[in-house]
Amino acid sequence: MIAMSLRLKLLLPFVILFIGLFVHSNYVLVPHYVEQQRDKQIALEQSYVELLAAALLPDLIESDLEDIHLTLDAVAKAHSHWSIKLVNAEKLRLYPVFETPKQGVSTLYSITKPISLYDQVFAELQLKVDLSITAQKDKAFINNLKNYALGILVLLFALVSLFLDSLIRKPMTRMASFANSIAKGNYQTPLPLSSMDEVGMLGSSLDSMRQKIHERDIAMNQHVKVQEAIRFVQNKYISDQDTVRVFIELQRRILDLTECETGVIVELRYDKKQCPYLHALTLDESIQVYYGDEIPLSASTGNYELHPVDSLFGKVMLSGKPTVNQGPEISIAQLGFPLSNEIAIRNFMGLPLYSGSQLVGIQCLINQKCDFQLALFDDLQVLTQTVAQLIIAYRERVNLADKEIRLRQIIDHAQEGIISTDEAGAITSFNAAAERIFGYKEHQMIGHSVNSLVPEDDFQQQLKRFSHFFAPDREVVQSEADLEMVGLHKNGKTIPLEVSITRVISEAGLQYTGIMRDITERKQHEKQLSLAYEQLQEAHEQLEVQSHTDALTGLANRRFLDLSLQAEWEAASQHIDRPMSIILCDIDFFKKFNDNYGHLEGDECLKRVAAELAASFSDNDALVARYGGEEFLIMLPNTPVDIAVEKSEKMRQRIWALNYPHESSEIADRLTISVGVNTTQPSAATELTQAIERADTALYRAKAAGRNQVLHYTSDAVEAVGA
Amino acid sequence: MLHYTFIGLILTLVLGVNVYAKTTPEILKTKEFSFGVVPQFSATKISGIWTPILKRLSEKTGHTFKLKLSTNIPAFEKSFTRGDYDFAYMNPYHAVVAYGNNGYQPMVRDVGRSLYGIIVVKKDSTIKSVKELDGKKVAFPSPNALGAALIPRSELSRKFGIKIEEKYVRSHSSVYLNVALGLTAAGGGVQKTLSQQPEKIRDQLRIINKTQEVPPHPITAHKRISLKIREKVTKVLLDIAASPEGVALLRKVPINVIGKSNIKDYSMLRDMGLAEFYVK
Repeated sequence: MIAMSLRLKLLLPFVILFIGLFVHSNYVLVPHYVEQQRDKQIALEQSYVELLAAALLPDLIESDLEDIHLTLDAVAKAHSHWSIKLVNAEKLRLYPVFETPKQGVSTLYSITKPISLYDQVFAELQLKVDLSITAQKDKAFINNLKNYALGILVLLFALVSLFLDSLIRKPMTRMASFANSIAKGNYQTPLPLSSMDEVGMLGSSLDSMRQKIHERDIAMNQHVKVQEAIRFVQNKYISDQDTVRVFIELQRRILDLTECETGVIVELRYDKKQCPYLHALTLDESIQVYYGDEIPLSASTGNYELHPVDSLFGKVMLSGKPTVNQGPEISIAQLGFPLSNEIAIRNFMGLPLYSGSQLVGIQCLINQKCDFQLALFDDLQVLTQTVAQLIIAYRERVNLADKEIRLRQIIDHAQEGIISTDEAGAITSFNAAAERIFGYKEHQMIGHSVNSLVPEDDFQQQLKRFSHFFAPDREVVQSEADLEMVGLHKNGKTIPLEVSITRVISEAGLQYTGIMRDITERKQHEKQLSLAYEQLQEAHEQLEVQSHTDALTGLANRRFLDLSLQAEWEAASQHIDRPMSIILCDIDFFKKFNDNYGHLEGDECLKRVAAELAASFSDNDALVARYGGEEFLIMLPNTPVDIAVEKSEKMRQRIWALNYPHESSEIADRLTISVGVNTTQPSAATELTQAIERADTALYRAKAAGRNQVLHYTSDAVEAVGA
Repeated sequence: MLHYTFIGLILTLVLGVNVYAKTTPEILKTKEFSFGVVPQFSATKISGIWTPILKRLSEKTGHTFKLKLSTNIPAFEKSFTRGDYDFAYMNPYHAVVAYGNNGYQPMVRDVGRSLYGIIVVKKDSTIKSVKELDGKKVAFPSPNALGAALIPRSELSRKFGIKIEEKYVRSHSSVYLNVALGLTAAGGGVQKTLSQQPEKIRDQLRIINKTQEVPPHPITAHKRISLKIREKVTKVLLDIAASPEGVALLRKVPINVIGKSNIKDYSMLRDMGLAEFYVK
């Protein structure tokens, strides 16, 4: 369809009808009428001629040409479209005197009438009628008539179109603009007209559509407001510490949404005696409201009120269900909450606030204007849940803050220095004890590298000791207890420290926390002790020089071992295929064992282990020796690596099978050993010390890998044998 | 039978007059006279022309003049032949005949003009002289029309010695139309009626002959009217011309210049021997 205005469409049928009528009248009706009129006229003219002939007869009989002329002149004058000719029987012209043919007239119609009496022809009347004159008259007449009729028709059409315009098009246009305004989002103004016809029905349905959209819009708006309120809560929760302000603002939004004058958000709390009370979150004045008959002894603040259980707040609190009271007037006593007395309360609605299935508070709404519907509870559910979650969140935040404060206090008052760094080593916390140890103030150290607390030349070495510790695969790693390190005091002195480091990967990133104790005094003490011990040792060694066995364990002593190793090494060097295996083993967490059980128990333990080791290598060539402290070395001459490892593993298993209790072990409930194995073909190119070092390295690696295991040395890695 | 009735009527009239004359002196007594007019025109027209004249006549003379109308010329001729009219306005030929019959005396006539006939042919006709009309068809109003028919016919026959085929067409206009249309070779008429024709007709016509002139129509008085009254009437008629209104009245008759007349004025008509051509 061509784009046309409604007005044009309404007019179009009339225009077509008009054109049809115009064409029909012009080309059919008018010509037909003219034709008919022509025929009529001819008939009329013929009857005239008959009459004229009859009238002329007497004069012709009497040859009264004058009379004839007078008559015909009169007739000709009366009939201007006639051209009369009268001829006598001899065809001689009797009338007119002069023949003046009418010029330029084509539509001449000839009528010839003989005038006779009793077969005697007197004359012949020859008439030429110019039909065009009358035809034109007729034509003009019918054309006028036609134009008049068409004019009336046009007028009628104009009237009808005016009528259609005002009764159909205008309402339609109005409706269209109305619909347009709806489309543009104006749902406020209702459609003013309301007629009872179809257009009116369309209008009313449009209007109801508008209302629906309007309602939906309001609902959407409410939804948006709810979302905004929720977003507000989320923002405020993070940024704003003043909970009362957050709750007041949140309440303001809820009141705005529900079109209520006032309201209150209260939290359901339990006092020390687990007695429930309500605490207003949106009132500056803090008051605890209890429900019941007796004054609760647990009300510690002294700022509390008692209200009957059957008050509105009490009901909501006890039932946990939304409650509506439509007034008409509610007293404060009836309400059961100390709201301002100035406000007249007409309608009340109490909405329970649930977090999950836990009732955490009440949202109270007070309205003066209209009644509450319970459906509001469902509408506001998202919001009430948010409020409940906010209450819970704040509650947890308070708890967390408490915990933090406590933690902080612990840290601040700890005897040990506690330093936290981030992944890069920048200090994030520095407690009072650390201040004492290092001489720096916390504010001086925050943000600085922890490196400044370590002597520069020591740093790389110390770092190496922690290298295994920085593996990024485990979330929490605790260093072995009591690593001894050297710290650097502000005044440049070095400080012996006992350090344990914890690595924590949290959302905030990687964090290291070091707990350190200044062991200067202990070191000095130890120094004195070791000095005394050395003296004792010297005396002891002198004794032992003569002996080949260790006094405590009964195993070969170090001195005998060294000699045996040297001798065996040299002997094996003579052969190409006589590998020597050296096994180094160490009791796991023996220092802790000593700390825990005491040195006497420690000695007992060493004895037991030594016996078991000796039992493990019963064959002749093997030499089991105490290498020092809780370390033992087993030499296996002419033993390939696989056998050495196998035997080592058996040994480790035997120790495990002892089930010797060791409470302070970090890896098991019993005593365990770590074992390092090295097998070397002694030759000119190899050295014994290197072989021992390698065994030691394997041992170290076994410890680092978690202890209670056997590892044998390989050039670049240590191959695990079993756990 | 009719003859007796006629005689009775005459007797009655004569007796009546006698009785009347005996009782009152002729001059003193109011008399009623009949006045006939030749029906050259329609009765209405004639009445229109003559009624005011007769009224004057009555006022001036103290006598009553009553207009007597005739339906046609033959009736008029019969009336004056019987002597019905005391006074009459008639054509010259009638005057001659009436004089002979009843002694109607011409009293006054138009002395300003004379009456003559004309022969007209179509302008483009080859006919140049009357003689060429011999054997041809010639139209005349009626056989006894003096100027238009009687005198020409007489002259054509006597003077020119030709014989024509006469066609009577009732009126002068018809004559001219016939000629103009070529229906007849020629036609007889008078100058006055020719000049009254529409110009386009006149233009079509050519006069080839004028007849002898005769005095125009006289007003005649019957011989029974006394001389005194005759003279009185004559005087009154002549007096009418004294006023412009009177001249206008007479001009319609038509009398342009009124003057005394007597029968001698018309003697030439008697010599023409028109009676031979007069159709009764």
